[in-house]
Formats: sequence, structure tokens, C-alpha cells
Amino acid sequence: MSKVNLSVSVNDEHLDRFSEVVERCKKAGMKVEQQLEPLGVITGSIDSAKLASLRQVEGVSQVEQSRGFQIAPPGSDVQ
Amino acid sequence: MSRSRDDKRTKRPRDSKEAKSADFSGNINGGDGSNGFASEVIAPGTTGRYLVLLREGTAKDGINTLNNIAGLRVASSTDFDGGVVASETLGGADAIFFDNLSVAVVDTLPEQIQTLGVSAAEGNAILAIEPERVVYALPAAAPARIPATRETFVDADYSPAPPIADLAAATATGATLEFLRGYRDAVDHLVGRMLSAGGVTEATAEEGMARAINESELTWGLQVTKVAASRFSGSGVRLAVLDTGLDLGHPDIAGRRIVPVSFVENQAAQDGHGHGTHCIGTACGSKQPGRLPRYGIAHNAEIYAGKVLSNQGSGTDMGIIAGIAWAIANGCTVVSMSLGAAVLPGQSFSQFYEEVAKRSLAAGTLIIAAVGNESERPAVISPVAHPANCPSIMAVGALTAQLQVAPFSCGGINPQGGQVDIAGPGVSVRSAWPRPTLYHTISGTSMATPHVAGIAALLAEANPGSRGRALGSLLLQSARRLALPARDVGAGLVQAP
Repeated sequence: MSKVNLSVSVNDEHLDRFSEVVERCKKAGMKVEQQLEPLGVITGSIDSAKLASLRQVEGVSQVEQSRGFQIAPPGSDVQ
Repeated sequence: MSRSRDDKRTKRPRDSKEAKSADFSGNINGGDGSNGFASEVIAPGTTGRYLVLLREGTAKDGINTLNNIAGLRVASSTDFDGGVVASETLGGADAIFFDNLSVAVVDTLPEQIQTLGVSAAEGNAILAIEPERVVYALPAAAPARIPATRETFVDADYSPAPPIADLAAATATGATLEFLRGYRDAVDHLVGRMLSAGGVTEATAEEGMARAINESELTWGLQVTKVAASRFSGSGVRLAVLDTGLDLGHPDIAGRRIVPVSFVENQAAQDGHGHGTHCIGTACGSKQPGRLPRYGIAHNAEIYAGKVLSNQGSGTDMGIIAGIAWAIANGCTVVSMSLGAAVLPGQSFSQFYEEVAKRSLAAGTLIIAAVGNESERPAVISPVAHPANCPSIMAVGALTAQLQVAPFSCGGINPQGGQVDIAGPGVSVRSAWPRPTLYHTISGTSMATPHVAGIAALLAEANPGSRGRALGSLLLQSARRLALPARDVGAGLVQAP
């Protein structure tokens, strides 16, 4: 099983019960790193096999795996 | 995660077919004498064809006029399956009529166009006639379509058009779709010109080229955006730049209110790359830098330097999201993000980021992001990158000092939010760089983005009641319209209040 880093958004209806959704995500197997309540976002990681069940958690809107970004090296003409 | 890591510099779509057609386009447009027709009769920047705008609902009359007065054989786009005009089925028509646009594209001799012009003056179905310009009708992305459509319209009896070997390769359906989009842009432009009779708002490329660039006092970017004339400075406005951090000891920002935070593990907010310092320099650099020219816009804004990209230039969604949350929590009015990951044509935006962006707007924080540098114009136009492709994030394209689209700047080729919203100076942009270099001139949509962010801070100061979506609307409404496709520059060149 591989671990994936991800971000979860809490749906509008559950924004006022943010911490409850965080607890449910933990129960679904998510290792929570950041609770960004102003944005309604939880970040962390989970075993990829448990991704599908995380999406079913009550109060969860979007689950998105974390992408990588890379800008050009300092010496590039185009940045 | 290495599979999903998109290197903005190295991951560029390269299609051998498209590359070949680029050379082809150069021949057709360049008037270099290698073919018989391009150089002798066609004005620079035009195709030799004409756009004829017909009064809406008078399609029949219009076609009759073209037939009877100018003796042209007219084909209609509705004759073709699904409205997609395939070149080979056009036969020897002289003109094609786009019913849904009320526009005909005519390839004929100047004398016949004059006849039509007289007819237009008499007030019949023809509203206007204008030479078709290469820049609108046949975007650089679609060079193969130039010869293809040209062949379609040209009657061998009067045109010395040479045989073109690559025609077969250029008649794919995708090409004709792009062709139609090109005409839509051209029509938009034509209508815009008619509405603003007198040409009040028209900014032309020629104007840009005629102006000699003198950067002794101000960078060209600050000149064309009218920053120096603004009485606003971003005073009282918090502006976050999510990037590689900031050289906190740069002499030009001494004494400024700066809040630096790193979201990168084991790295301080001090910029070990340069990109972040350059972007912050443009968005909120000093009015009186140690060495001229001035390069900074919102010189009294409070600088929130969020490091979400490492000194090696890499970052993750998690870091960026954390940075956005931090900016919102700190009441930042503007978030500038000169970062992105390439997406594929047809790929939709991130629902997750869209939700984040909407909440950010609701909280009064406008996110402004770079469209990406993956294009290789004229051959390739790549779609607006993630996350600038979210509908609720303002996507910034890059312009040259001649106010042309930068060759690398991504275009609005994906539906649903994948459009370019506005454009800023993005080629040969001078700004701050970490010590000991101090100043550096580079290019990219990364450089265009902080121009828009800095000006957003000026607008925010000028309009204290306008935050979030309202602030974004102000940016778009005050932009200087350009005679370039909205696909590439959105509302136009950002302008200081």
C-alpha cells in the first residue's frame, strides 16, 4: 500500500462543524497534518487503498492528491 | 509524486507535425519571396482575404450581393456536416459564409472588394469590410490552416498560388475548428471597432513598436501599465506573494513592513532561488530603488512573503494551500502566485482549488496566478496551467514590450475557466534579485503576474469597498483593450488607477 499526500475540502454545509469532519477523516484512515479552518481544508496523507472510502466521509466535498510544482532554475531566461 | 510533477521548463508538448507546419507558416506569412503570391499584393499582417460583416438576419441578401455584385461563388458553412468546414469539400468557392456569425470570408481581387465596398456604402446587407489579419484569423497556433484555407478560397484562374505539398496534412477537422475560432476572434474585433467608431480605445501593436523603449527611469512594464502616474501606492493593503520567499536583506526593501513565513520543510523564508524576490520586487518594490529604473508597483503595501516553493524551485499543492489559508487568515487582499503545473488540452480544472478560490474570494482575498510558459508560439499554444485555470482564479498572460503575446504564454484553449483573464508585462522584466546580484532581467508569465497583483493592490487602496470578486472586476474593467485575441490576453493590458 502506498501513501499519498492529499488535500480534502469540507463542504459548505459542514463548515461550522469542521472539527467533526476532521475526526471522521481520521477514522477513515487519514493522517491529518494541517487543519485550515478558514479555508475549510484538511491536508495530510492516507493509504491509497483508503482513498475511495475517504471520499464517502460525511462532510467531505473534494479529495485531491497533492501535485508537485517546479519552477525553472534561477539561471533560466524564462521563469 | 514524481509522475505528477510537471516541470514547466522541460515538459513542453512537441509535435513533429506542428513543428513542420510552423515552417510552412513562416513561408506564407513572411512574404520572403519563396512563393509567388504572398509578397507582392498582400499588406503586412494581412492574409489577402477580406472579412465581410453582414447585417444580422440578412444572410440571403448578403450572399446574393456577393453573388450578383462581385460575381463570387459563395459556399455556406451550413452546407457542411455539423458546421465544420472541411477544406476539400469547398471546391472552387470564392467565399465562405458563416451563418451563425453573419460573416463571409472572401478571397478575391481588390477591385471586386471595392465594388462590394460601394455596395456597403449604399446601405444594403453589408455592414463592413476589412482585410483579414493574420494575427486574428489565423492564430499562430494553427499555421497549417493558412495554406489549407487559402487553397479553399483561391480560384486557380486568377490566383498564381503555387502548389502546396503539405495541404493534405492540414485539412484535419481540428484544424477547421481552430479556423472557426480564429474567425470568431476576428469578428469580435471587427464589431468592437465598429462600436467604438473613432477608435477611442484601440491600442495597436504598431503604437507599441513605434515607441522606443527607454528604461532609464522606469521599467517598460511600469510605463505601459501607467504605474508612475498613479497616486496610489498600496498603502494599507496586504499583498501576499506565494513563491520562493524573499531576500529579507535586499537594500530596496529596508524599512518595509514584511511578514515572511516558510511553508517549506527545513527551509527559511529567505529566498535561496531568486524567483520570489523578483516577483515581490515587481508587485511591491520600492518607489526609489538603489539603482534606477524603478521596477516596483505597490511600494507602500505590506509584504506577506509566503515561501511555498523551495530554494530548488519545487513545491506541492499542500504547501500552496497552506499559503493561501495563511494569506486569508492575515487579511491579505491579494495573493500573487507565479507558479503552476501544466495541464493537457481538454483537461478540466481542479474542483478542489476552485472551492478554495471561491472561499478565498468570499473572504475578500483575490488570487492571481500565472497562465504558464508552455507555449511555443507560433507553433504550439498550450492550455492555461493549474491552478490559474480555475474560474475563480485570475489568470495572467504575458506580453512583450511591443505589446504582443509572449511566445511562451499559454492560451485559453480549454473550456470552463481555462481562459486567460488579463495580461501583464512578461518579457525582459527587470526587478530585484537576491544579494549580491541585486537586479536581474528575466521573462515569463511569472513576471506578468506580480504586475497584475501590484496593480490590484493600488486598486484595492483606491476602492476600499471592493474586495474579492469585485476587485477582480475592477482589474478587468480598467484593463487597456488590445488588438489581440482574448484567448491570449483576456481583457487586455492591466492598468494602474
